[in-house]
Amino acid sequence: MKEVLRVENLKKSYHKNEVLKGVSFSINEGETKVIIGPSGGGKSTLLYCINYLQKPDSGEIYLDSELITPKNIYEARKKIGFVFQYFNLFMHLTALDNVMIGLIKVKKLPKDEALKIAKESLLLVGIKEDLWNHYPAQLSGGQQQRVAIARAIAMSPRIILFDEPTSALDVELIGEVLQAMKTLAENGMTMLIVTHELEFAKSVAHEIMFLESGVIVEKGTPQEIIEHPKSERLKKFLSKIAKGEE
Amino acid sequence: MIFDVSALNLSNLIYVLRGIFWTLFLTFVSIGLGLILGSALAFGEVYLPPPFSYIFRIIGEVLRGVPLILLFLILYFAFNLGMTLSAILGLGLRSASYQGQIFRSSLEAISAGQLHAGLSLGMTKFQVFKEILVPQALRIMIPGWTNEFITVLKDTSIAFVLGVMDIMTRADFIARSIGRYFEIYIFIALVYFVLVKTSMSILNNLYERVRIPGLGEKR
Amino acid sequence: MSSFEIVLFKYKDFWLMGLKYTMLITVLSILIGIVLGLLFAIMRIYGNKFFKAVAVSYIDLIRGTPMIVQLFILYYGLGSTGLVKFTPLQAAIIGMGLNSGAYQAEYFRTAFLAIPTGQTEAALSLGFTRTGLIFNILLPQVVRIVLPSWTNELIALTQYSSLAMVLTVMELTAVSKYVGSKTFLYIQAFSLAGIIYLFVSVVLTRLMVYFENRLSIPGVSAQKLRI
Repeated sequence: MKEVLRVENLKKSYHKNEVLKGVSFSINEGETKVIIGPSGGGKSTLLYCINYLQKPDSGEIYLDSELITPKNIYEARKKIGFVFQYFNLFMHLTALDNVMIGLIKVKKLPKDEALKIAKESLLLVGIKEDLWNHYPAQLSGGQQQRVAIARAIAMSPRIILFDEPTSALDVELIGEVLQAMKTLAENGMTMLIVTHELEFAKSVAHEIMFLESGVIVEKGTPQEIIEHPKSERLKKFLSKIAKGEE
Repeated sequence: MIFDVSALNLSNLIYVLRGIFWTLFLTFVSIGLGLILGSALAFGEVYLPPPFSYIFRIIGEVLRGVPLILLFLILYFAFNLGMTLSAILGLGLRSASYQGQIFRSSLEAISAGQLHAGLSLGMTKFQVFKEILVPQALRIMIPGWTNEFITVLKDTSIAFVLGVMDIMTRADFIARSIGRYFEIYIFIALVYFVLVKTSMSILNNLYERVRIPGLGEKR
Repeated sequence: MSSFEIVLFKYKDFWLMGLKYTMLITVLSILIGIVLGLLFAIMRIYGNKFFKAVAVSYIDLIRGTPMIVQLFILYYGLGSTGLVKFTPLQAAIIGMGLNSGAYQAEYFRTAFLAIPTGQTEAALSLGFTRTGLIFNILLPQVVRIVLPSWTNELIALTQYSSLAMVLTVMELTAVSKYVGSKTFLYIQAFSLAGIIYLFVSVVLTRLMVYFENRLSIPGVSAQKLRI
């Protein structure tokens, strides 16, 4: 299997607080990997460092075996989709335009081609034609997040990073977003997902990584991690999740 | 007679109304000047490194801190600029200091998430600025900018102290020459009122047309 | 003596007079404005159709016309009709007070509307009358919410008080023009006036921040209520 993303010994500090203390892992084509862990453990920072929205202090990130540097970051970002916790749809653009703007301005595709791809992407995540001309504020959170996913997949990225995509949503809207993500996984999209949805993780993840205090404490198949956790810290975390404290 | 309608005869009214040209000219030119200098001021304050950004900030504070009349007098008497130029620069500089604030707070009202989303699609910083931040900031600006426009429109009347032949100066001139003050001043109050209401409805209309639901409102 | 010293010391009494008039006009007109503003805001929110219409037209007309025109109507206009003859100082204070009232009515109104309706419901359920509700429950909160806008209004009025100059009041700007024309040291005279205005703004702002802190109650502020 071909390796898409490899992270080696990634470190990041804010002021004197070391958030990532040397994180390494890799993802192969078509794989879905899930990161779990307590808040403040460095999960979001890890994702933001991968596409340089936050600059890592040290360590290396390879995309298709090519080292990502500040020089080639704009090229790299075209191939790394990102789905944010708070959706971050462009507030002045309709759902359709949100999906098209990257295709037109970044990929420089002609408008009709961009339109075609955008429509396909929206339909794939279950956003039907009647919502295409709505502005973000006119959509529910679940719809916004699905448009955001469509915006990411329209760019046909090599991998998509999801930063707690459902944690800002009302409970009844979580399902539709997870369903859209499941569809992507089934279509063979490579994905790295930070989430607290363990049931979802169990059903789609090839591997789960437990990130706490800036290090990957444990990793393994969903079975190993969720059913048979080894470390005390992971056990504690899982019981907290079960009680709804995380 | 308290209110002598005959003071408002056609020739007097026409004499006063011809001042509308200068009133509007001063308004538009000063607002335009204020827009250009104001965005420069905002950028200087936000993006320049410390010693320079402070200078821009102090310029803004000073312009907002002194009366418009004093600005006019400084430009006219101390710098010997002509009355029209003094009026334009006085109104324009002052408006720049306010428009700079409006522009800055509009940019600040846009969440960092918008920048992140743009960058994550592979846009350059300039593309994010041009495609995302500016179109949003311009829309968020319009209500504050409408107020500023109205303020400048009304404050053109202060150019009266310089003698620019706007409606205020012309009204004062006629009032003195015919000795009827009440009627003439009430009349120009109405003229200003109509100008203010008209510009307001035009600008509100523009806002309604480009307004986007949810833009600029806090989460 | 340097030119700046001439401007300052030789005309010291003039500067003090200017400062006195500027402050007098500013402070009295904001007080008038507060009373009128509160009155018109209450009329507009709680009044019947007639009071509402009066308040709305007043606010609209004042905010839709330049202050200098208002001052001219009051001083030259009314004066020439023989109805009332104000002195220039009176006209300036009353005119600016009337003007400020319209703007402050809007500040008050926004503040009243920012208070959650639960406050009204709770007061009424305790048996408060409408007047009791307004003065005992709402007003103490409203005042704390409008405080920051009074700072802006004070500074705006300090600057607009220079318009009294065209009514021949010897306030700061008029003094600086007078001193300039006497000495031909315009730059120095105007700069001094500018410095005094900036100084006054800073002092007023500090003072208001002090009051805001003294009166602050957790949870009741313009920021908390997002206005």
